[in-house]
Amino acid sequence: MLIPELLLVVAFFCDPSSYLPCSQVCRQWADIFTPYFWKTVNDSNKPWTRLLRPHPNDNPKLFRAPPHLAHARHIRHLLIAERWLLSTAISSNITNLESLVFGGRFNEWTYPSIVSQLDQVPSEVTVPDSIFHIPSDRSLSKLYKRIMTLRSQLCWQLVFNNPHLRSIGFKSATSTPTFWGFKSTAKDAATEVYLLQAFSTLTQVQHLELGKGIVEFVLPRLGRLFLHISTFACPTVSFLEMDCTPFDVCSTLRTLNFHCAIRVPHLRSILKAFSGLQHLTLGGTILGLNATASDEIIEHSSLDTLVTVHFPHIVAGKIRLTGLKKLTVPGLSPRGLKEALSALPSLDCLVLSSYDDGGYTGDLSELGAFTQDYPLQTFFCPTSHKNPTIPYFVHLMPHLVRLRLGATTGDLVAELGRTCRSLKWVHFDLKEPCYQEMNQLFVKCTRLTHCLGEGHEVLSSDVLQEPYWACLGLQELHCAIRGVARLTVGQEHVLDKMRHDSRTEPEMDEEREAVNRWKESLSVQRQVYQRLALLTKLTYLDIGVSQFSRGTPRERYISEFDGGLCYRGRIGSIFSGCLELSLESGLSELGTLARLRTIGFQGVDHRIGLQEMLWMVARWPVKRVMGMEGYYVRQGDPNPQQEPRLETFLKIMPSIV
Amino acid sequence: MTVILVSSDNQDFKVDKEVAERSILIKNMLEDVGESDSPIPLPNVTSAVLTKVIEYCEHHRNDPVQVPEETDDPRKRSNDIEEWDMKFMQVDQEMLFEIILAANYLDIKPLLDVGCKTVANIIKGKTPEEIRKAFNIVNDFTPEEEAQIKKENEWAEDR
Repeated sequence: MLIPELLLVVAFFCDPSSYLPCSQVCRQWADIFTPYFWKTVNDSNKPWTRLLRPHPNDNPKLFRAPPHLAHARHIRHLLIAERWLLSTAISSNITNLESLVFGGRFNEWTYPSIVSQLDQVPSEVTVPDSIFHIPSDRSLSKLYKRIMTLRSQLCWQLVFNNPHLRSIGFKSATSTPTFWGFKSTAKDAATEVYLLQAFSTLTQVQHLELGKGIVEFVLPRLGRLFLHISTFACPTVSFLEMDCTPFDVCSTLRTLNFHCAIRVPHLRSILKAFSGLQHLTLGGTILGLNATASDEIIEHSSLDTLVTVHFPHIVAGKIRLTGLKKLTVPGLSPRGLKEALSALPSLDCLVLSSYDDGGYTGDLSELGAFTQDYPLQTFFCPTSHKNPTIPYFVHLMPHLVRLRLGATTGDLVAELGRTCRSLKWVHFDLKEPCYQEMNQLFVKCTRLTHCLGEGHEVLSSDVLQEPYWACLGLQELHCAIRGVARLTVGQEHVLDKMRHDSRTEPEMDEEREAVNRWKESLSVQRQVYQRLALLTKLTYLDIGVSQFSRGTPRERYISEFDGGLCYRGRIGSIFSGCLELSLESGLSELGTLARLRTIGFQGVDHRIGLQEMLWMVARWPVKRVMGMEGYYVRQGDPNPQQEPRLETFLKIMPSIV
Repeated sequence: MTVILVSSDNQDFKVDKEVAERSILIKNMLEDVGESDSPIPLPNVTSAVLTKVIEYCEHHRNDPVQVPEETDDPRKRSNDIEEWDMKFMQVDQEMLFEIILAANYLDIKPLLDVGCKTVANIIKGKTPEEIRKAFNIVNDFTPEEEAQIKKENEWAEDR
């Protein structure tokens, strides 16, 4: 077996679920794996859920927690959701923690033994109950208050016992608080002295997540208390009541998340104090009071990303975010957009996260007055279909490079082709077929590398007409090619019969007609393939027909000849008027696509046979094929005799979807 | 430029310098010695193992030099072995351990990692008894310790 030194390397790569069994193999393995097993303890997860509870053979009435954890010294990361572990952690004298999270509901049992503990605070606890703000509310029972007080004491005792903590989290699973907050230090000087002294032992902290009653003390003093702090979150506070003395200056804080309401004066204090802040999330509303005339303008240059539910308050609060690059808001009115873009000179990316149009009720035609261009490069609005003002937004952004929209109309696609010539990455679904507009997008947006989304379709006649597609750097393309002349089912029968008789020259009128149509179809298809063959950078090509796009489904026809097989999609129909994907029709032109890893042709009447499959695998590094499914996978139609090539197909193709 | 490596059973292996230098041990030796065509003895590695190690280094000759990553990185877990490496490691257990030892001795970190990840994969999902059986390990716990483990297990198992 391996020497301990190498076993340590193995342990590093082991799945955490292996630690416990490994520690029980032999003594040598126990020495190596036990610290790993105990490194991260989370009493909400297996096996800790059971391992840390008192054994049922112990007196269930007492229901006492195990007196101490035998391997406490190995614990580095501790997540506590139950009272059991909290008491045990205190009595086990855990002092090496790097991260500590209090989460869950902390269900307490009012067993006699617990209640008796409440009167007698364990001797290890030195955190006084006098620092907590215990509401005088008479509706709260005495027992509840005692439980909460002791729990708060134990939690902070554990925090202050661990000077190496880098991450502390007080999370609450319920809306009611799980711990008491601190007393207001404005009214109680002794509490302030105690807390300042106690927090001074925690010199390594980088990540903090605190709840109501604690934030008010910690946040204004962040710069003084934690020299290495980089993220601060306060998730569950319903309202932030801070004694708004000037905040301590703190240049290390990078990320600040509030999921609660905040007042404009506080926001101003925060930005003034945290000069290095890069990411700010204001998940709650911004409350009242614009800045007054006497307030100075606050300029913040390092904030890079802002998520907020209401942007105008920031402007009204005389806050200038000169370095902001990314703004996420639920919605903006056209006027709000104009204001935001004027106020944020560096803005590069705008995300409208909901369908809110910013309360815009005006006449859209008045928006024509906005003529200024904005340098925005990224615009995401996945719910744009519910927002009538989006076309006007796009109109103002000629420098867009990345664009994500929801269901889109032909008019908007036409606007993109006219205005946004720098687009590289676009993703939108189409509400309606708009063949010409789509084709124009490929003609005019010469830098396009990704064009994705449902319902994209172009006509073969447009593709073959000058000016041709200019976006030859396309890497990912999802767009069906329709309008290809194909044979009717009757004509296919006629041709099959000729093949069967080994004849190539037509003898009857209907044969002549079928052969001529066949030749014409092949010629058009080959030309289309020649255009596609220029897109040599393609890694993803999906010419599948979206099921919701309009078109006449085609009757199923299965030729007896290889390469003349058409499948029906598993869901929905197959459509005629698409490319064939047979070598004969010009698939062979696509040998230039040397990077193609995914090919899709869902719903296409594709006629792919064994030869085509072998060809694809030989020419492309293809890993995924979408749309190959045929009638053979349908329930009730599983006659393997009908498709003897199935097995071969599955062997050749890496992943048929 | 080629170098000659000599296995413990005195077989010569002629390999490209670039391939041999996947081993930090050999790389340092070559740097210390300077321009020299004298063979490099590897007394800890048999020819069978050296053949495998060279096969690995040949395949990975153009890999970028591994940058030390943060510890505790979950991406480093055992499930991210490349396809070729996975096949390469399909050897009997004795050979697997020999390769790991050789990779350690020759200081070829990526090979050491792949070997240890393979062992970690073998361990995954096994009980202590199955692990002992798989690696031929003797259970040296005292009866008291064994009883304690049994109690812990009974309790930890989800019933």
